[in-house]
Amino acid sequence: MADADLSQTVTLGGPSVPRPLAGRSRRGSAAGFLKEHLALSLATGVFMLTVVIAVLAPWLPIDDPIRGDILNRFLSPGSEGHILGTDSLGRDIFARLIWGGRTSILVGVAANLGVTVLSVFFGLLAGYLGGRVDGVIMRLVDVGLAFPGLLLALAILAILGPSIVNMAIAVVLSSVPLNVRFFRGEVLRVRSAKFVEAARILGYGKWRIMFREVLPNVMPLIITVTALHATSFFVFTAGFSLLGLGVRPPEPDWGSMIAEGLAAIYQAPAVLLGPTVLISVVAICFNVIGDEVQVILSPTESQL
Amino acid sequence: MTPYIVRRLLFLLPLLLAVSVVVFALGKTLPGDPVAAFLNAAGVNNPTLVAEIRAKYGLDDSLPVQYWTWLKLAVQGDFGDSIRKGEPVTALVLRGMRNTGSVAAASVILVIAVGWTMGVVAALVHNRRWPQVFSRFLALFPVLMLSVPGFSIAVLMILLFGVLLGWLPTGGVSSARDGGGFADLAKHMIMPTIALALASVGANWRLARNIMIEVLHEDYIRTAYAKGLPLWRVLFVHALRNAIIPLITSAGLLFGSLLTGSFILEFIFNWPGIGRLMVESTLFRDIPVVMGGTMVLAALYLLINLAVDVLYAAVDPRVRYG
Amino acid sequence: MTDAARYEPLLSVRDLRTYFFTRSGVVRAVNGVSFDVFPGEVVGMVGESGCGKTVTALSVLDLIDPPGQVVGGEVVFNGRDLLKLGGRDLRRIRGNDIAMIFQNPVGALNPVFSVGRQLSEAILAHQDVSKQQAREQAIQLIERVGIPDPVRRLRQHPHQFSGGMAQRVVIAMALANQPKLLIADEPTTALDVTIQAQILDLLRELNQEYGMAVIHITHNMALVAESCDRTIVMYGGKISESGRTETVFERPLHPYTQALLESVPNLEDDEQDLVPLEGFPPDITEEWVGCEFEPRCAQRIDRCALENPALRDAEPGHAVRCHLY
Repeated sequence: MADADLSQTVTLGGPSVPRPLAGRSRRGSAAGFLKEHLALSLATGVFMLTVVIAVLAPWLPIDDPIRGDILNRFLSPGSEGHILGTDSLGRDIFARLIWGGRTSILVGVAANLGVTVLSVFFGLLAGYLGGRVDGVIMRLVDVGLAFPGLLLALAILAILGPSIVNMAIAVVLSSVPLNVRFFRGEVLRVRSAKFVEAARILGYGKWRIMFREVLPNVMPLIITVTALHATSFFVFTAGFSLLGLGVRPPEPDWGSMIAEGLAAIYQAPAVLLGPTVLISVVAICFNVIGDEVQVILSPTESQL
Repeated sequence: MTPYIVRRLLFLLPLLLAVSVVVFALGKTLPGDPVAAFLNAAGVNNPTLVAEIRAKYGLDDSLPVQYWTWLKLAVQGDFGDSIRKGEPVTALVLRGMRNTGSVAAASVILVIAVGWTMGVVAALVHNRRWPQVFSRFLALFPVLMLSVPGFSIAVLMILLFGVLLGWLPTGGVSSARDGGGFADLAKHMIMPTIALALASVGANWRLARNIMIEVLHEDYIRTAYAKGLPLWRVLFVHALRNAIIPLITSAGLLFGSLLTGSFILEFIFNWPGIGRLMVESTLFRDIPVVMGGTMVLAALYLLINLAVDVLYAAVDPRVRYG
Repeated sequence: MTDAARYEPLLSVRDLRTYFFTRSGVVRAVNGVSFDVFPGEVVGMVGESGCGKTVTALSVLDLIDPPGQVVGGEVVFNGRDLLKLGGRDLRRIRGNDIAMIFQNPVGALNPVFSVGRQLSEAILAHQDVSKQQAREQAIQLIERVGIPDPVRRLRQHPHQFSGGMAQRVVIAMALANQPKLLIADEPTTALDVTIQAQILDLLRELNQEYGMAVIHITHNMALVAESCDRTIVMYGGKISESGRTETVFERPLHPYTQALLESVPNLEDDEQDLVPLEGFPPDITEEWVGCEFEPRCAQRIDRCALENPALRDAEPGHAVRCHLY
């Protein structure tokens, strides 16, 4: 805190005194940016690394995650040929972690994008077209919202039967209603803007207006929301797989690996740690990235 | 106030009806003949028996008739029997809800006692002339809390406190050696409650902080100071009363997140609650339980939302005398 | 009131400095302000947005929030320096001896409590009376400020009041304990013109009836001309000119004051061109060398860029901060 030496604020003469004194220069360098946004950089770095490894899994020189060697079950980490040891069926944990990440992250991202695309579409329709279309969509949304949390997803899964695809579908369907309502609100706000009215007067068709005028203006919010709930979908995917409702054995997946690890918790606690820590780290990364995206794209929101 | 409640209740009924239609439709969407499938799974291949059972349960009636029969029974609390366990669905659902209820109630208490309180504290620290490091910590800690998935925390806690240290039981509602009773239950509840509540505590902490900071910047707070009111009065009477309003709405959403959390956590902790019941029924395709449980939970959710709305109106005069 | 009492200032501000320590620099919102307010007079404080008038007012009652802080000067009221008072003593003065009202009347009232409750609260904070007595006083106050049907109105909530009505309520709250000084920060800016006139009339009545001094802060010169005994013109966190209203308006000395008066459109003069004031207010995050107004001043001399002038009486009772005098 500047001291209250007030004599400095009143001037002293002398033509050599520049006026006014130059303000502080901003650090424009990349290094400065990294330092200011340390958390974001770290999170993005870790995240990118994870994604790259997950995507490149088929080409990495690691063991087959599915083939088990029952004679070598529960090897401790550091054993020969198995950096992180083996699980209850003798499968290499390291390989399973990498392949599992692939499934967990990719399915989570796919579900996230699916929700966004569907919600934006129906939100646009409901918000822009109004009238009966809006009425029907919003009544459906109301019904969808009557189901708490992921209850609807469970019910859908009970019908369709557990599998990765069905789980993704169930989670998406369960999450769309809330997002539709949210995006519809934003569409309504943009719709009343003058440039939309201008487009209407110019005679543009409603589909064109919806997708070429309204949509681009809702985009920042869409990106923000998508980034913000990336964590949730990733966690839901892992969670449902943990329950056996998603990925089915012997496919590796972080969630189901936790379940397997729980079953063997007394014999080999280490089996649990890998997927748990990885899920936590990736979830935190998603969250940090999501928060920063929100701050960047909503400059009016004061960062408290 | 009363006309408000009545209006909301009237709006509720068609919604409940629509939900019941959806639930019923879901139940009927199962491909194939459920009776035949069930009997086949039990190793019985007897078409006549299948036909008999279908007639008995009215499965050959038209859909609307089936719906009406189902609805009539449902309203009386009869959702049929569980395919998996043979017990009446309603009994199973109620028992599950009671068991989940204890952990859920404890979680709600944690959210309010820790989440809201810390949020308010964080806002106060931010506003008064405290060192920045405290303020930043109190702002970032809840973000950490809500980033880590509940089941991760659960697993880590089980590893640490259950397996490694042996302080707490790793699952179940009670342990034989601790012999029932309240203390035993409490010990079993500790980890599930923390795991379930953690994310919500973090979210509400962050929310409370943001809300309180905004409220403290409002003009009427400045007026209160200018009136010569003491600090505690400005904060706890004027500010808090306004901050509570959006927080109540947030509390209403807790039901959804606690329920979702219970699906996974009750599995991990082997807790015989409604979450585990629903998950197992889904895995097993035990349709009557899925239908009955969904219906009851959705109805409860709608009622809780109504209660929150009423509470909101009670607390915010702008809604009442708008 | 004896003549001697009239010459004893009620409030005496000397070299007040309030700075805001923000991430992008130190904002010197109030940078050496000194003035007096005498009992029973109405002082108008004018200036552009951001010149420091509101912050000055808030500093008097120490209502400055972080990152702002009063860093220097003294505010003497009733022989005591308010800036040195502890919490409890200061609280006894706020709302009691010195009251303050703000710009947005509906927002200044707590939306969740009834207006009556907030009024009673102001009374009970400083008077040792029962709730019932406070309520009765509240009813009288509400009637005094011109709100009909007081009992019903007191039960209502702020959002049920129009802007003008709400401002009357706020004034009533300020009057509750018969303060010697009322600081009114842009009390009519958010209101319609007709309502403005009513509120100003009310303030004038109260000033005459209770002998209550008023500091009227506004950016509207016309209001000041109409209702204030003395005028203080602020610029760039400092006082640039002050004196009796007629004097300042008829013989403005400071180039800024002159420019301000010239920029006010005159209804009677058909041929007048609007003369805007060129340039922008000074950037007060940086230490300013020389007179703050110099870049925009049409009458500047070399000395102005180098040395900040002191506030001096150019004639008795008419002070100016300018090298021209």
